[in-house]
Amino acid sequence: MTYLLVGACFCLAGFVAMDLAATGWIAVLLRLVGDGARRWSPIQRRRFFAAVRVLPCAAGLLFAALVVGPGYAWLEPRGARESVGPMLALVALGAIVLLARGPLSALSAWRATRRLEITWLRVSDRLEAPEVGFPVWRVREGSAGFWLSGLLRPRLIVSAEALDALTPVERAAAFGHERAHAASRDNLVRLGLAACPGALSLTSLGRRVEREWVGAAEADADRRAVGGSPAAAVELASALVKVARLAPPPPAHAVAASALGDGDINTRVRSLLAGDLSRRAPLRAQAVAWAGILVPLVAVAALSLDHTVVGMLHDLAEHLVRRF
Amino acid sequence: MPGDRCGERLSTLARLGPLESRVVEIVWRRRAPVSVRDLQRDLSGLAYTTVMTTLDRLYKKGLLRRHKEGRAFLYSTRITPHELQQTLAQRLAGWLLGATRESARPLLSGLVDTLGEADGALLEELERMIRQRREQLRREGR
Repeated sequence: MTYLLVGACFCLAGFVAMDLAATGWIAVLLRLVGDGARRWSPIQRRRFFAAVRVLPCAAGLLFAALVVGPGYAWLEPRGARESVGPMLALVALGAIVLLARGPLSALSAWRATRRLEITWLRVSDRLEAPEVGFPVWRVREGSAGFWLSGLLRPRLIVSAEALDALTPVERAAAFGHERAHAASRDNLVRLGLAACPGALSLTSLGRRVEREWVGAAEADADRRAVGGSPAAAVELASALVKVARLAPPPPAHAVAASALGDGDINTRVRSLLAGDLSRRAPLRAQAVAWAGILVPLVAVAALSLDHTVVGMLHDLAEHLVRRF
Repeated sequence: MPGDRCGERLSTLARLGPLESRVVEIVWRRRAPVSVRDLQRDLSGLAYTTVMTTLDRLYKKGLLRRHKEGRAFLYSTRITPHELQQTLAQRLAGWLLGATRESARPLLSGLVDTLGEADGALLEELERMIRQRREQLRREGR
């Protein structure tokens, strides 16, 4: 039993170590990529930032599962009289908190969504909008705005005020934007990103990565809704400005989100009017960025194949555990 | 909800000035309602009116409760040290486990997901640009 407990603590500590290392690596990578990412196409940005968000957690889990766990099983004799020291216990506890935090925070986000949705649907009527392809609800009271809800079965919740403010063409453009979100399963991806465990979610860097992803997802939905038509782009831009005018003041906790890079209305409207949503990043910039994502994962995989290195890492871990 | 009220008081507590914090500490230590005069003895060197104003401010901020006894008000704290510890622990656990208001942001994709930054002048400028672009497309017959 102690053997398994110590092994589990080793794995948890390995997760924390690699998670922190990969988080540091991300800080370096984003510095390298810099503002260049702003010139990428929305789809390139959304893929890149989603990968960046997942990277530390994936590297940490892989390191624990492929390097630390097997190393412990191969090299630690079953009858060894190891025990869980205070430092190892503390690190393992930290790892449990980091691992639990992501899923729990995703759960609170899901519950908050359900609560909000129930409140809105209580004062809503079903709207006939076959062109949307999923249920549309018109909220009679309050200032709901224009929201796509649902992880697998999308539904659109729109305030009567917003619907009335838009002309039929603007409404069609706005519906197109929400259809694009539904087709990309953005709410599900949002949930997945929120559920990613690890230290990144505790840092301002993690919040920046999430904001960049949201901005890219919005721009990508704009691009798909417009489909390269300058007229549709103008209508969508107009709809954005009208809905923004109706929007309620942001809740205190959403203030940080208002500084979104490419997600802010100013950039979105200007991009729509300039028609530059379909530009693509130079191949070299993309190659550097994706190589940066793959480096930690390839490094972990390479480590797991080299038994000498696995042994050295195990010895190092043991040394540290004994020392502290 | 009582928990929310306790949380609000905790936030107020965290924003207190040095004198206000000292006054709250003394009221806690005393474990019984105190008058301005009692407190002034502990805060040597401070004028009666300064202590009275500070207590009144703390009462208005919702951190102290008061009742009249004779001609003077007696003050006691609304939040006990035990409640404070409990709320702090709950907040820490909430933060660690991702149960904060920030993490509970709804999973919704909005047409305008970034409220707040759009002030009136900016929206007017964007509307002007939209009108110009519309006009340009009309001229080009698109």
